[in-house]
Amino acid sequence: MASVNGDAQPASVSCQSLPFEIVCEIVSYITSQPALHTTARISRRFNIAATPLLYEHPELSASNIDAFVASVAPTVYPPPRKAATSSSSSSSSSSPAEYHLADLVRTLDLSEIFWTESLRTAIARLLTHCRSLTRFVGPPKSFTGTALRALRHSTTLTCLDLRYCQETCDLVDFFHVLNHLPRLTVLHFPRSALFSSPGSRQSRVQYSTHDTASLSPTLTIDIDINVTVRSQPLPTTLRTTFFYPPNLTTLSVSGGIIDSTLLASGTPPASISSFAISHLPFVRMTAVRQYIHMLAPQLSHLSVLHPIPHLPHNFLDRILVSCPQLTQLTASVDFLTAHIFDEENCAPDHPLERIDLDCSGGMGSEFKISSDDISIALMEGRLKRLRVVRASVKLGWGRRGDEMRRVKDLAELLCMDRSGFGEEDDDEDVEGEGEGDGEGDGEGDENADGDADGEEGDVEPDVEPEIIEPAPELVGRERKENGEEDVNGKLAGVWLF
Amino acid sequence: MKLLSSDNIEIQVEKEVAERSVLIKNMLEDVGETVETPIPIPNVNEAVLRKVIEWCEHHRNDPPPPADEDSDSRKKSTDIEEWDQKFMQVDQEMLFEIILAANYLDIKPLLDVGCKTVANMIKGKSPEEIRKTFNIQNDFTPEEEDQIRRENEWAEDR
Repeated sequence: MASVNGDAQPASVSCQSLPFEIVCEIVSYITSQPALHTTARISRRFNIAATPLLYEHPELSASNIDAFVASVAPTVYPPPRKAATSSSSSSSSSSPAEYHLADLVRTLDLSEIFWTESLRTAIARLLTHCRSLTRFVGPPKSFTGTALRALRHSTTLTCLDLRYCQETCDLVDFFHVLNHLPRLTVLHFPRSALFSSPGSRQSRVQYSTHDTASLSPTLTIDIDINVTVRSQPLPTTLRTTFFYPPNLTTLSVSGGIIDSTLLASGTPPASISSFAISHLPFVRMTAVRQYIHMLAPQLSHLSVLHPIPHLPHNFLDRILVSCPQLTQLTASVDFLTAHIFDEENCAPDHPLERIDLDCSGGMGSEFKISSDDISIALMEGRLKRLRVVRASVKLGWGRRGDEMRRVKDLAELLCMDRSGFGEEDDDEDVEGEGEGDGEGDGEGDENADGDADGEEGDVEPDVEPEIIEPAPELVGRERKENGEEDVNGKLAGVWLF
Repeated sequence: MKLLSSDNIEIQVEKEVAERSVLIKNMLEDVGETVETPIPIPNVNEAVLRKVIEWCEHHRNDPPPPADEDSDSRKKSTDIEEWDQKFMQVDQEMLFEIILAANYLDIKPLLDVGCKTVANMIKGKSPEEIRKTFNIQNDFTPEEEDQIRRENEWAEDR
């Protein structure tokens, strides 16, 4: 096609005569970074159209971060400005006359950058310059000290994701930064953060592993010492707690927080619908239970992943009862048993659509839940909306030949219209988003549509069985690399990862 | 109903087809139900107008586009359905005329297809090749060109 058009002679109506907004429209379909780079070099008009897109969501890696910092956050002061409108024929006028490249950046995703020299100062410089940032994903290393504290400039942030940060950073700094980010809707705690400051880290860790109540005086002393440097001593509660951004919808908590961080930080916002915990070495079961209980009625997504050493082996068994809105559950089998699928623990009309089972690989964990446990629950008419089960290979499903067959049975069940299962007239009680849920077997397809409309909008059992039946678990394995997005509700069945 | 092109040619078209154009649709709503006189389309000549109507006829039963148009521009698909690809295999002048007409007549899906087609022609070429393809004049000064190159160096393919 390109060649047909490409060989045409220069015409009276050409690219030059297109209005600027159409040039922008054309450029908006150019998505790859190198192609945008090329486009920005064609002419002034294309440059003006392509530059904002090039800088909006830059793809950064260890090999280009230095060059990126050099042009977005140069050391020269004041930073060079760009003229937004060229003096030539361009018809654009509404954009501001001058801008900095840094103003164009919306996303900074540093999760691919493991280590470069002086990354910490580079991040601090980027954060200081990029004042329109809405999404920040922290790097695995070097996100401590000045880099972390520089986040307080990014007051426009709506998404802060520090899940990849492996280097220990100070929770006090982190909580302090949170106060400056009132617009956050998505917040992922750094997993290896601690309440630590130079000189007192050791005692702090010791404290945290022990009983909170008896040792809190120690903590107060520690903190007073650290805090006096900056200002007058503050009460302990201010230091170990944080303020929730008011519009938070997604929260994942991890790192060296303690019981009181969860419980004394006030009521979590009612807007939270997705909650995740993992990597919590110090928090104890009662605190987690109490906290999840607060959130339970509003949750549609819940994830509880190891390591959380203080949680018992059956912590999540009644979770479906306490979370009536849950559509997606991600859990380590370390914290649940097959009883989660018992009659009294899961209702037929529970909206759950997807279960992801991970596993720490600890002793005995591979025998905790088998595919049969789920199959039986489904055959007895429970969890009628469940379509996707993902299981870690560490669970040992399908390791032997006959188990493979059982996993396949489960996959078939998941793809099936199960509205008539269970024999009782439960169908009429089904409430929620879909239309025509209560009409019985004849309306099976509609039931499925109802599910899809309700939540992710993507469960279509009519089509899926053909794809999945031949060897679902093998398909699952092959697609392992494609990540969650592909699997997310799109394909009913069983996936081993 | 009838449309009158810029070169004064009347073209017969079904109302339903013509209403793919938001401009014409709004015009008809303003004027009322019965339109005897042809509607003048002063910016579009006969050949282009016929081409646009051909597209509208083929897409007359398309569902309205999903509402979340402006979600994330990075995720915009450049896939073009087969019929549209064939439809867009025209010379460059016609391609740009169609884009301009779609813009003027406010036929968003056709404008999208046109822009995607041009975007696909840009991909994979060097700036010089693109300038040659579209007869675009390089209006950068050598210093500007050098500066832009340095500034955006991080985005280069490697």
